[in-house]
Amino acid sequence: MTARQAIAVLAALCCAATPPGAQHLLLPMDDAQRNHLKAYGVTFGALQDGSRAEWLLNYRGGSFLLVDTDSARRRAALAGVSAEPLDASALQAIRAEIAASNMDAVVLERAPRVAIYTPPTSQPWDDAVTLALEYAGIPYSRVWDDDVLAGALSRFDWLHLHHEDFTGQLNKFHLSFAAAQWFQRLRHESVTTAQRLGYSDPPALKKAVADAMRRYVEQGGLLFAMCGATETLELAMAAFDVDIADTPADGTPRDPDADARLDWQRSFAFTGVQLEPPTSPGMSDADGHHVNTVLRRQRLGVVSLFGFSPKFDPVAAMLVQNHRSVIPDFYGVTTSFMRQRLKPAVTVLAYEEGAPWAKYLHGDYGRGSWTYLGGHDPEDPQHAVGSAPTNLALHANSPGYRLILNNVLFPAAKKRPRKT
Amino acid sequence: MAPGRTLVAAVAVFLGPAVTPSSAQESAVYRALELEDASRWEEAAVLYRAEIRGPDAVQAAFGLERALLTLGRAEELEAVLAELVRGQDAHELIRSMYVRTLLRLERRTAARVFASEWIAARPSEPEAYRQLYAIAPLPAADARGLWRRIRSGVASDSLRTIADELAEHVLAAGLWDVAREILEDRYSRGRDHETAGQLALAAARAGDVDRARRVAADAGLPADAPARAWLALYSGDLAAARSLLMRADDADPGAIQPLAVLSRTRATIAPVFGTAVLALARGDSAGAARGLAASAQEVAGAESLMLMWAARLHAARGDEAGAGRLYDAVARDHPHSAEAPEAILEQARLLTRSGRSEAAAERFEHLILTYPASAVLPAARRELDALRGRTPPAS
Repeated sequence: MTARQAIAVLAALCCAATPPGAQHLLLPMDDAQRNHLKAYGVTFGALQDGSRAEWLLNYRGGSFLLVDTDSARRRAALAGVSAEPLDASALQAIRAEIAASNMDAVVLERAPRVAIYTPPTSQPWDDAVTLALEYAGIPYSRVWDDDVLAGALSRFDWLHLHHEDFTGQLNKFHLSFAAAQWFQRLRHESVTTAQRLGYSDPPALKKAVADAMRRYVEQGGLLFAMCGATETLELAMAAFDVDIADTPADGTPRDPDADARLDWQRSFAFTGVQLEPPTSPGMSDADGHHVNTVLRRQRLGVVSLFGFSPKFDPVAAMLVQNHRSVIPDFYGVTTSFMRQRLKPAVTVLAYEEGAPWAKYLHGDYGRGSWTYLGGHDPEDPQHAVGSAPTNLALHANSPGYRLILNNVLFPAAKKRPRKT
Repeated sequence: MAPGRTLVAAVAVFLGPAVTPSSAQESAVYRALELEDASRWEEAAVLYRAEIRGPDAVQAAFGLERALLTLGRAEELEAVLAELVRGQDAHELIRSMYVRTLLRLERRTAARVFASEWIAARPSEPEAYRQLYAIAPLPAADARGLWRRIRSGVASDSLRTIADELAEHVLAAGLWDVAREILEDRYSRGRDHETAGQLALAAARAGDVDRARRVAADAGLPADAPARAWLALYSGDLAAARSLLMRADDADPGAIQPLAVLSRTRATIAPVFGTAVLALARGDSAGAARGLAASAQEVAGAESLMLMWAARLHAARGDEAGAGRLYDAVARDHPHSAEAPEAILEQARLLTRSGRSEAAAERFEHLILTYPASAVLPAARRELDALRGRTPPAS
């Protein structure tokens, strides 16, 4: 059978399965969905095709409504994504239910341009976001220090940062892995990149990069960070005029008054944070779990997603759409964020009941916004250096990875006047 | 009762009074068991080793084996056992333990030499032969030589056991000529149905179908004897084979494919198919694959099944081109068959292995879109993701 014949067969099957008058496809995102993660890719693909979509917030786990096209059906079938054809009356019933409940429909109007800040040599499997984007089939561009400093971020709607250490200290891995070959190579690359771009050392380079990212958000960009990038980006922005790097990173000790001199007006989320001493593997007291400090490491609990009203807080509601309201926590270089170090305007999206820390944060800065998710990999809670990469085909319904993908799609939402 | 003690008790029952712990030495062995219970393996090993030449040598050897293997000292165990088996009076369980230890240390040749020497020294001891078979399947020449030595050198009271176990070994290894020789001997001593059935099958699979038929007829094999069903199938008499195979009283997994074919066709005669199945039973998978493909037209209704069967045989032999031609034929000529999705999946896999990623992706997509209810879809989606680099490469 030729490809053309196959498409004809598919079209015939689709027609046979389509109720008369079906105009839309519903991608349910509750437990009826076979592959939650790829549903984001199917929706993204529809937007790429120039079609509009809707995100039905709080309706069946945050379902997607697509225009029923051969292309959308084909994409869903290939991805193994459950799709339900809807005729006009079924859609009308859903809209009535949404109007009468704590739900809302948000129009997704164009595929966001996505950038991942990652070294040119990294593999997609090194980072939970690239893992999720690859698996879902969502295209992205890679950017690195050269691109950021050359102003390339303005070309993108959404920027993701993963476990980069913006203090330029390579996550202080010199304390445990100084002799490891991978660490030596990382340090060499870090130093040569700084020199090539005209900076005295990696901390100076990373501060400049962090400041470019701050300006990107200030001018309307959307930034999503995970793991150590959250905490170190904050530190690097606040330390723009202060030396907070220890001797192994830049050859000089940190400023003895560093804590007092940090400028928290420049940061997004944190304030009043104290640096950890040079001998501690942690960066600051902003992280609640201190995974690499054995005597201070906190045990993992479960994380509850805050329930927002889509009609009043559509952005926060989009970021927590899920088929689970409680998910298992997972470690990262930065796992969580101490509430007492957060600025008052920060929105807590997910938290551990009774714990002094939050897991998932969101806020506005200038004309843009940022989102932080603590931890490294939602499906590898104990992730360690050298762990095997996560195969998302085995976690196609991961609620933790859905949080990441919510961030990828929310920039597609049509902006509308805020009600709060 | 602690596990160690249970084992010793079991051994004592198995061996009978001759090796029951003597009252004089009991305390030493049981003291060692107490040490095992406390995970004090080092001290237990010392005690067991001290008892290893005494009257409780077997229990002490089992204990020493547990202790030294727990401590990761298999080499030391081998040295102790090598010294014990040098004596002519070493118990067969200790000799078996020695073979087991050599195999654990991956010293297969030494194990084979020891087992052969054991057989030469004690030709009427069945355990010696069992250990030889446990090392690896015997080559045909070795099996035939062994059989001749058994016939001439084994005491009559052990001959039946040893000959039967050798027959089982060579039947499992597909050494039909040797099996036939052994079974002819057994058949000449007593014409029971079981021996007749085994002999008939061995003779057919050794290439002597006439002899197989004569044995089956002379012995008057009952309808539920598997040999009758297989002989009918080998001769292409599908009508007889269909009813006989379904009545056969054994659960031979080799019957599954022929039964599947028989359940899909109404053909009654298919001599080429019979010859192909016999070729497969004889270990000629290349001939069987050719025969199955050639006979597909004989068994109307089961063509795609036959082609896929043949394709799998080609693939198992590493003949990917041969397999690929048949996958193509199933996908092209039998698109509505139950085998079509699997054939397309295999086409895609072949293309993936040959580096033709785009063509492979097209096949995966065709499969997913055309056969949405197929059981192979999860595999197809998973492999398509891997092909497109959407999941990490398998580590």
